[in-house]
Formats: sequence, C-alpha cells, structure tokens
Amino acid sequence: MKISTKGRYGLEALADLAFHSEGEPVSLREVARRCSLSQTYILQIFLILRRAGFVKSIRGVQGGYVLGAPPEGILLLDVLEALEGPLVPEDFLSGDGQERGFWEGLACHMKEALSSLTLEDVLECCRSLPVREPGRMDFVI
Amino acid sequence: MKFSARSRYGLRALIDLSLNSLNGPVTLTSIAERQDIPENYLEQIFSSLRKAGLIRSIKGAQGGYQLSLPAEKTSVGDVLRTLEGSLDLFDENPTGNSHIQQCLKGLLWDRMNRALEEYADSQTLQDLIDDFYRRGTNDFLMYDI
Repeated sequence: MKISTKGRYGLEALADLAFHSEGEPVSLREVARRCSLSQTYILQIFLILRRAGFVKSIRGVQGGYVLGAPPEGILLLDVLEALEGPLVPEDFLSGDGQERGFWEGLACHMKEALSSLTLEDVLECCRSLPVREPGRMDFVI
Repeated sequence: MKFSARSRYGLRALIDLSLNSLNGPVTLTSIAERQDIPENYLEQIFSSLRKAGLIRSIKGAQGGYQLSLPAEKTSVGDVLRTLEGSLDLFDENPTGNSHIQQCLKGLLWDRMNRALEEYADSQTLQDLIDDFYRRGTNDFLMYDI
C-alpha cells in the first residue's frame, strides 16, 4: 500500500495554508515557497481541495485561499481520500475474489484508526513545537 | 492509495492452494485456471512466496505446491510484505523536516502504517478462508465437490 506524492504534499499544503491563514487569504505562491513545491503542482492540488470543499478561493488584489471549513471540522482521512481515492481501491472491494473480506476488514480497521483525526490536531501539534530561529534566507528581500 | 495486484492475486492464490491441497500438492496451472490469473504472472508471485519460505514446491509426477505452514500459521502480513517489498506507505522516506511534516508524520502517517501492519499481522490465511466460508455464496466450492 502506497501513498502518492499528491496525498503527502496535498496534506502538507493544506496544513500550511491553515497554519498561516488565520482567516486571511493566503496566496498559492507563499504556500508553494514554504512547501518547496512548484506553483503549477500546488495549483493542481488546490483544484482538488477546492472541489472537495476543503479550501475556498477569494478573488481580488488581496485574494488567495482560505479554509473551506473550521480546521476541527476537516477530517484528515477525508482530505486524503479526496486526493488519493479510497483507502482500499474500489475494485478490490467489489470483486468476487475469495480474499475480498481481507480488504474490507483492512479498510474498516484503518478508517477506525484515523476516524477522529482533524486538521486542528495538526495545527495544535505545530503550535506546541518550539519556534525555530528564522534562517538567514528569511531576511533576503 | 495504491495496492499492487500482486497482493490481491497472491492472497487469492494462497487461499485456493490451501483449500485444494488437502489431498496433496496443487499445480500452479490449476490455480491459475480456477482463479483466472495469468500463469506466468502467478509464477512470479509463487517464486517470491517460495523464496520467502511461505510455500514449497514438491517435485515429481504428482508434484506442485503446498503451504509451508498450516493456513492458521501463515500470516497475511508476511505474505503482503513479501509481495509488496514492504508495508511502508512511501516509496522513499519523506526528506523534509518542517513542523508540519513532523506533525503529519507522528499523527497521521505513522498511525496509518501501524494500523496497516497491525491488521495484516493479526490475520492468518485461515481467517481469510473462514471469512470466505461465512459469506456463503461461493460457486468455487460447488465446482470442487
């Protein structure tokens, strides 16, 4: 079972937006820079996140993206499934193979393990870590 | 999330092998036919399983394959690790070390990995077979008896 880069970077980008937004729109350029990803890639990810309602785009000069719901209402499992598809591929669950019960049990067990995790848990964890000294690059204008 | 077809067909073939080996070794061809798995693909899968010691091949006219251990001692986790290479969620380890990356790792990725391993290691081939019987609808058995 593998998670693709889309799932991994998508969650990082969403958490980055949530962490830096505080209600104000954040530009994709800033998210891309902080996550060390290309803007094109971030745009693809945000299209998926916007369609699924996890982010909203705000137009205008001060425009950008904000969260589409409060962070405590955004389940990490839902975000991951929006980016990656279901935890266990649908054709594994719908086939008539004799091993099908295993995949159903696995999907159920994993969903249970992740069921209560929200974006707010990630933000809380980030706030609890010590603030780092800004690197020299942060001062370059 | 991606699982490879190797795991899916591997588990299916092992269930078949277990159910049909009561009277001796089972040929790869018969499993491939019953389960509609391309034979050369199944050969690759069985070669990995044999090297890992999960099945053994019996030579001779009545030869074929057998489970090395009874189904209730064959761990699904071992089968999946053999066929997938590992149960790690990522092909390569995440390199970044930002707060967000650290927190996602601790809260989400590590937890997912643990859940996957826990479940796979808790299941034996016999559990899968029992589960299959409980479902009742299996034309497979009707063919064989």
